[in-house]
Amino acid sequence: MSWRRAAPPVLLALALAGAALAARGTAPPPPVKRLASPAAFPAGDGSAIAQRSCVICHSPMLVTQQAKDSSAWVRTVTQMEKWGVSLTPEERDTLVRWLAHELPPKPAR
Amino acid sequence: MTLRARVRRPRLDPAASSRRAFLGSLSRAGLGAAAWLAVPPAVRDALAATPGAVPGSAEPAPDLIVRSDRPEQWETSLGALGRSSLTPNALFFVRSHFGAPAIDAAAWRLEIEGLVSRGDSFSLADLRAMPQEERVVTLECAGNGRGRMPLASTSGTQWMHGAVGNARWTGVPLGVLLDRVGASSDAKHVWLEAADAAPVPGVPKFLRSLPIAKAMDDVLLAHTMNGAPLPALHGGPLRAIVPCWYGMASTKWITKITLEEQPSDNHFMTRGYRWNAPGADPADAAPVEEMRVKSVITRPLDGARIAAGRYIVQGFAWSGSAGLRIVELSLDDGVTWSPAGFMGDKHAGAWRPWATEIDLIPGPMTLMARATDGAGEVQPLEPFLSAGGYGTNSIHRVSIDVVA
Repeated sequence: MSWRRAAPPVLLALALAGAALAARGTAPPPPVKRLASPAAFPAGDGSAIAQRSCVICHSPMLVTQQAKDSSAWVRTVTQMEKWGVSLTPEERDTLVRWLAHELPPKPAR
Repeated sequence: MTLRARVRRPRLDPAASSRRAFLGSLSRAGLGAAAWLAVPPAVRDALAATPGAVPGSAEPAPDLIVRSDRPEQWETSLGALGRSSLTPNALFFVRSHFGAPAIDAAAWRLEIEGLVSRGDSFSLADLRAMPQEERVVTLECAGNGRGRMPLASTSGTQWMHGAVGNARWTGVPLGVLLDRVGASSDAKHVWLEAADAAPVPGVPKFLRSLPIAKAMDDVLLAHTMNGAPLPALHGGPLRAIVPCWYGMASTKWITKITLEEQPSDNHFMTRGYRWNAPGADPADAAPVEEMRVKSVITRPLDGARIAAGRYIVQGFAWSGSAGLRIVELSLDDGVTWSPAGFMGDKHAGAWRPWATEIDLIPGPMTLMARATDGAGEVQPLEPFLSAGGYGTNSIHRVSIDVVA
């Protein structure tokens, strides 16, 4: 991993101290997950609406990391409309249904 | 019950003369030597050392987790966080509502108006010519840990553990500036307006206000971070540093300060950053202000395979103005707890590194760390639930596999 190649003095000292105490070394920790959520919207009938309505202000990542039930997605879309997003009633229904289906609640981590 | 490992008692090592200065600083901080002697000198010295300034970067460093690429929401991995007590600028978490605005620092000015006798504006050079203060302060995003919350309705960046960092900030105490412009006795709140804005006009700008007492006594307007000019991603050319409060109070890219009788009615004051329970109206809830007591384990990392034997567990702990009383480690799912030792100097508003040494016995194992603040508040086992996903400070668990 790159941080091992560019180890600062502090890390080296820690590693040395750790190695001295634990006669055998440790396995590398799990790699860092660089992009924490998809950078593109999931496929489906709401995808094009989201692409047109959401990415003006923020990346799809801000959406794809959410995990919410239908009523929470309604609140989110309502807030965005209040702030300037323009949707027809049909687009709104499609968007909410698609979000709730593609990005539902997840178990606690 | 069979313990997979046990926490070792602190051992005195009288041979290490090089730690005398460090001992002195601990004594001044009111701590006994036994509080940290569980830690070998090499580790202690390494953690007490401070890394040099690392210039900011427009690209996320390899150890940052990108939770959003626009606007930038970058989380520091726990492995990177644990390398030093001062978080290098390039590894410091990034949180912004609308992304870094383009600001020409040479032309930039800070306006101060409202309930003052001498409204004025100041260049960066003006501010640098005023009395300067340097403070080590930990900033934690109020939403840090939101991703750990078992809620079906919480919006926002799904941070896990690393939306927190500790830096040395240099700047002008806000109180000095307010005295300079002649703050009126009618001024009860200080509004800090930021330069960042959404691309569409209907989205409210980010603006936070602070009670006058906090603003006068305990806020820094920082232009320097870990010895380097404040990077744009971290609020440059000027940001507030509000010790002991969650990061939303430490407004970045400040352009205007207004003194008012009332707190701001901005969205990010009245709707966002409130302690409302799920389903409750934020307007009826108290504002999010002070950080809740918290600790993280930075060594070992979750999922690591580690050889049996003696091992040093490390982490950081922090809290609001109540300070820290103790950090404890449990290796038996919270049945018993043993104290860890604090390391390094104590700074009001800054986290403290802690460490302890344990014996690892082969098999799966879960470590838990919990901190208690000076007022006796203890980290809870389960996440604290707020509708906005704020203030999660449940006990950090790290599961490892110990091999023979």
